[in-house]
Amino acid sequence: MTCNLHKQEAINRTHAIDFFSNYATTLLSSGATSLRTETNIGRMAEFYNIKVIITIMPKHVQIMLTMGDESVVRVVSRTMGINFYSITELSRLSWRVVEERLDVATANKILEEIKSKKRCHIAIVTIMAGLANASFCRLFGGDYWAMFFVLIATISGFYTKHELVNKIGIDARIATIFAASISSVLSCGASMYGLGNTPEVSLATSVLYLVPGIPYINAFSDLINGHHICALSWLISALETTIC
Amino acid sequence: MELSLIEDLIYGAIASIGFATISNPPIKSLKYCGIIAGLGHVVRFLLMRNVGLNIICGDFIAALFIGFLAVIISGKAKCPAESLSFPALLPMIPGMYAYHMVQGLIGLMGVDGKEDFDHFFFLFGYNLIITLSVIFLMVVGISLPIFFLKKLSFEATK
Repeated sequence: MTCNLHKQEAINRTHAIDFFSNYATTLLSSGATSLRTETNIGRMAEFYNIKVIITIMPKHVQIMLTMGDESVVRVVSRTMGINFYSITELSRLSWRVVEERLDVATANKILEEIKSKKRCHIAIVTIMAGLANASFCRLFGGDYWAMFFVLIATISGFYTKHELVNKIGIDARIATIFAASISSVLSCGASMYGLGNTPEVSLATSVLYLVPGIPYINAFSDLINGHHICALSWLISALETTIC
Repeated sequence: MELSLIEDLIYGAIASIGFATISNPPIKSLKYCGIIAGLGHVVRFLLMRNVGLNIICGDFIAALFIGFLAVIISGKAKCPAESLSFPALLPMIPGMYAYHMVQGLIGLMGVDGKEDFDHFFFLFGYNLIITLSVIFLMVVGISLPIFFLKKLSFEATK
């Protein structure tokens, strides 16, 4: 389904603002940097011959769309859930719009398909997180007993946090405190039973899976790109989780 | 138990793939994340252990290496460069320093006397400076290649 997009009247203003606001919130909610969001939106806006100005706030995104002499503004709220699959596919979509000359309705349909894609199964993610943290323990000088206890502690803590947030609906920061407590207690097994020579490494690394790496990286990335409010928002959110 | 170069490479790669999985990456990007992280970690290992650089300089140069590698590979992986470089950077996030920083902060709340205060304030301040400097320079390190090779990095998903 294509159309002559260089004709201004070919684009429905309501569809366009729906699409751009949906695209921006999904991309930002997935943890994309402000630079990536601006670049992708700018690419599609140029193709549709629309002027789009986005104002990114910690919990909201304001989109101003100008077609000819008329402008329309929309403010949409955004949530947070790092999702690299969405970032990759949405970046690809921005190129597909230009190269395949997709109209706004088709682009919006593809966007909804990307949004509806299910995340990786929690069992796989939990085991992978456990293995990652156990490797981390080794990188910090822990022995194989320490790695074993970190693996068990991470799997238990990670799964508890997931269940508390997604099944019971507890605030993520409170769930982090619970998860950290469980992981710390379980990682003490190495010192309790006198197994291995590095029980202190096991205790210190058992909670490192809770340190939010991507928000820290995004905070400084936005800072470098001049998005100071977003940078502060990422940094405060990351520090909150670390303190929990 | 001393860590060998091969172990550093393998565990760096596993840590990156594992932590990346939490952020729901495209499946095919995982192998590239692992390779980039493993090699990046080896660069850091060599710089810190053989050349004698401190963690701040070591992480910065390793991040620069990861950034260039990610931009070059992103075209082949058909992923944005940051989808590869950010997970690859995760094993180098100074989590231990962040943890000790918070430990120092919490310790400060229950101090009794100047000596205790000095100890916990040192613990907090030292780890805070290391954590923030390392993360800042790591982000500068992976961002520079994206700026230098802007065309390559933003056309990866084309």
